[in-house]
Amino acid sequence: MSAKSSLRQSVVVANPNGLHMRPATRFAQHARVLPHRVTVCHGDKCADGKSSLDLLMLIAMPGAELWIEIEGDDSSDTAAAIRALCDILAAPGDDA
Amino acid sequence: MSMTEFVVRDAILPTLDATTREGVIRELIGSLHSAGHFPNTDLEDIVRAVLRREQLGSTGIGRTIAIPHSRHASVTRLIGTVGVSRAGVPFDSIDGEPVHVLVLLISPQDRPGDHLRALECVVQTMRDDAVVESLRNAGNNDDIWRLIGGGGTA
Repeated sequence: MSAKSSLRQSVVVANPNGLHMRPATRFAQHARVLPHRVTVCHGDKCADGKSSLDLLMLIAMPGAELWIEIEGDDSSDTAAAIRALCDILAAPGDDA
Repeated sequence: MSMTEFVVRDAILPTLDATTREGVIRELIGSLHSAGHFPNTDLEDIVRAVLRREQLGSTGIGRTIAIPHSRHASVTRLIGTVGVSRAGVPFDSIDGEPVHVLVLLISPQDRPGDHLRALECVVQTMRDDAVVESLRNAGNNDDIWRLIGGGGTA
């Protein structure tokens, strides 16, 4: 059985409309193709990063600090995966 | 927060007539207008704004639910309505299923927090399969109002 590795990183929501349906959908679509377990937390609320509806429950306003945690096998590239996910939330979006 | 804080009771449509995505969106916006909203506003401009948002990606969230929405300068606070389609409407939803329960949201240009809270409220309400099923079978406006958290009768 392979060892698990996990990473945790904070990111500030840059979209001027916060984590609304489109960025949440984009994030979840990206997370779903990863072999990792993806969790996103805002304060004491945490969401399954592979579910856009779960992400909407976080009510993450523009400027909110979120924590992304991913967990996967050692063989999977957790560092690149979390970077890509952070980039989605740190993008200002196309709806400014 | 309850959906009744932003859903306009008189604009609820228990039986949508339209059978297309554009048609039901137009019908819901028209219903809000009939209930006294969007005065002195070109309704087509609101329809176009909601359809533009749909072009960026369907708001069909699966489980027969869609949340079409847009910001628009004609409102000073977030308003919404609920419509039910008996036949189901093709919506290019995330799960490919036709949509039966629609929640339309129109929010002011500069109140992203209100929009996020309303989205959360709708998703929270619709998490319960029994609520979605009851909405689909609701006979009238009052039934829908009660199902989304309202009390009493008209």
